[in-house]
Amino acid sequence: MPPSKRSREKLIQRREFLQKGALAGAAIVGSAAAAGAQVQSPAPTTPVMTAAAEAAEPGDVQVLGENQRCGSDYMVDVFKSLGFEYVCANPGSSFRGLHESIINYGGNKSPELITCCHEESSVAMAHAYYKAEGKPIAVMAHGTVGLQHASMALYNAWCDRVPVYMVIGNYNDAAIRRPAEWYHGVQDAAAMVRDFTKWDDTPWSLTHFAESAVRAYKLAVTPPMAPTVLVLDGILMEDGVPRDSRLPIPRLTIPAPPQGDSGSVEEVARLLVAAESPLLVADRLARTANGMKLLVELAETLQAGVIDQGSRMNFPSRHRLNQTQRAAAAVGEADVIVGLEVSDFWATVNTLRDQLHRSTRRIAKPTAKLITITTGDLYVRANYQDFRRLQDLDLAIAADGEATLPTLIDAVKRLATGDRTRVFQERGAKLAEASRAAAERSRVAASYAWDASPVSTARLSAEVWAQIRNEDWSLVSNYYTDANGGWPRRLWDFDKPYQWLGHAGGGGIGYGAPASVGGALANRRHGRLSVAIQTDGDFMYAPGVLWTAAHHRIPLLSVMNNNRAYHMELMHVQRMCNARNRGVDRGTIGSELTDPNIDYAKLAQSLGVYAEGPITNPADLGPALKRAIAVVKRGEPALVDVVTQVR
Amino acid sequence: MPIGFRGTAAVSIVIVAATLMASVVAQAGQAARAPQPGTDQGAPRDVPSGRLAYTQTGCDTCHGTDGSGTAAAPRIAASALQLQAFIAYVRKPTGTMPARSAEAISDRNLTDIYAYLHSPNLRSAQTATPPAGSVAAGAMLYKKNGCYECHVNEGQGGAQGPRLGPNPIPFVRFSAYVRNPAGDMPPYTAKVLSNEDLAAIYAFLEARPRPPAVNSIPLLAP
Repeated sequence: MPPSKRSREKLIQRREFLQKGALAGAAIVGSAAAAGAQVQSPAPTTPVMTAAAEAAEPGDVQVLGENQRCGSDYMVDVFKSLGFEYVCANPGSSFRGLHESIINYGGNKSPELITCCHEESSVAMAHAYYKAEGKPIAVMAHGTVGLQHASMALYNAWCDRVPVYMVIGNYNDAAIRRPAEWYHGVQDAAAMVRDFTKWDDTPWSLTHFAESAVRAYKLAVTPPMAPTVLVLDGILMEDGVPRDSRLPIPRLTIPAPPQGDSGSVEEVARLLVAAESPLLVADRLARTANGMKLLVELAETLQAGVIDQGSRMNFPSRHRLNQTQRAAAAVGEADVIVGLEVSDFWATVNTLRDQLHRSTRRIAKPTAKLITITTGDLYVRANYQDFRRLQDLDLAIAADGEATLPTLIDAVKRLATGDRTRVFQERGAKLAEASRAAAERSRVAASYAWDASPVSTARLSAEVWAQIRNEDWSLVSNYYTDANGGWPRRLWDFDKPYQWLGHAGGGGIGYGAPASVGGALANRRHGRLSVAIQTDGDFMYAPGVLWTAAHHRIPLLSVMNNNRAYHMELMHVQRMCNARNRGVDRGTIGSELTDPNIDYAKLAQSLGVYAEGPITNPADLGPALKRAIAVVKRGEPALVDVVTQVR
Repeated sequence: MPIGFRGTAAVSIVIVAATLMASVVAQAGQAARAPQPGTDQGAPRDVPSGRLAYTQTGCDTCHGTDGSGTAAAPRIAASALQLQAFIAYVRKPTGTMPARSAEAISDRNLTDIYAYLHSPNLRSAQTATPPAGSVAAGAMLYKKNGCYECHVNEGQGGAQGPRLGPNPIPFVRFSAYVRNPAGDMPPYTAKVLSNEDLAAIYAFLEARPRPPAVNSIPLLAP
């Protein structure tokens, strides 16, 4: 795009200034060299101001005039109009203009700058913040090195279909770059993440910026949601514009998400009402707090079983129709299965045996009707393979699941006759009994190794639950998980949308710790008790995020699930050892975090966080948690290091 | 099928076994014909037919080729459950097992399967005395061989593997499964895990403490 007339003029002014500045600099250097020759002493390693330099002709005035404002002040106005509460950033010179505008012009409020120690932490915090609050926050980073650090976390957010508003700095004009800016300069900054972001733009003017800033927000939060990237030119941020220039602030209008067409929804309702054993499977369904209410209403109307695959808080864990803990059996029994924003529907109705020769098997009945309602059909990219295997379906609706539920519920209510309603009630009673039996099996399973040391993960979950069950709590991160949601989902009573924030999305380790801080940041204003079950391998990716929690007084209880290894990977190495008939006794090499053992309590204390541990006796855990929660209730983070069994 | 199968009265085992043995003897020499799952026509109630029906209806997928159990489902070979209770459970399971209707598998097929599961070979394997093994050595070997990775430190099981102790499945079945697992578990050949070491691991699993009654643990109150 050619520069506008105004841009060209400004460019010429800049060049004139640079020429003058270069001459002045040459004068300083020359004078200093002459002065050094006269005194005949060793050349100083640090430049010093000299009388000759002071006498040199001054350059241009280096302060914006009263009748000017900088471009980044206007950018802050636009960001404020979008309602950002926070912007997470590790500081970087390529966005120094915007940084300064946020803290001074913007008053460091809405958005408030959150100091992060790694860009991956910044993005993961924003990722979890959105899932807790339903509202994005911004992330700032260098256009090259910062975005490279951030890229894995962006990939997680993209796989999880969560909006992250990414702002990166870059000096586009090569003629005016400082030396370091050459390393931080790039022709197409967003290219490296374009495969796993929804949209990006590099504005050439402030008007262009404003439209792109609003467009980036709008696209990010419209289902299917995903991160977006704005590449901001350093000079666009730093240069002045006349204070009275009428720069517009575009109006943000968020589009309504797409609903399923009425004919298809009616067909789904007809199949569900006629089914003997319908099953609802939800994964990324509940975008808002209303999502869970709608799924409960649909399930109760049909008295249908529900499997919550856990990418969002879709269904109360102890609801009598919740069949998550007996998911395989429920799928095997079903004659109609409706996947609601399910990221991997193939794996819902099939299994894959991970042996030397992999094999697959369908676990759903051959005659079962399979239906999906998902925005996944509206958005797919070629390179990264998150679209999973293609499942044969009877009906697929390309629409947002939550937005489609009200119409589906209405249709089901309309079609459900008295006879069918009686069938529904009988079915509901059986499902309630199956759900109760599954919960009972979980309690019994948790009792094994109850008093063992290291502490069993079931005991850890039960001890945490005992301390928080009467609080307004939120489990902001939990890496110890499985298809059934891990011990917390088996033992705790989840019934509020913010009590479970799902997973990393892309399986990128290192999400848990920053996500817990981001979730806790969102929960802080609501006075919720944020709890994380924090695995050790994940924590060690970027532990500095606990300093961020301490610095910004973000209350968070982190309970270490410290099993001293990357056990999932260790298991895979073991699988290879056995497949090659070599024995597994060396399988721990490269996966264990021992020799020396890491002292997470001391690490947390060094970052300004209250911490206890390592705890190996399960009897010591309850009192330690109580003390840590007292600290969290004072508004600060706390950590309890628990040495646990492997799973 | 639930682990609770193991706890039913021994008397019924004898009665069922005697009945089944008589049935097997009476039908000896009768040619085994492949039963057609979902039909009740012409399927002889004998062990070979039961074995065939067992695999054709997919029981082996979860319960293993000989009913000794896998990561996905418990042992059902030589269970103490009586025939009618066995059929009733298949029709209306209370655990994670999918229900099988009479259209999917007939009562006669189930009777054959029951006969197979209680055949002498499978019964002796379930009741054989395990070889002696050192609990202490077993604890070391359980860790060294990575069993704890999926079955967790005390054999209590977890997301990746089922509970193994304190009452493991019969040693013969345990050994057979370790050598040739049906599920995702990696196989352990005798080259990498000797029979003696396996016996020690078995002894370790047998020696795991029984948990306290779940209702005696306040933290696990519903």
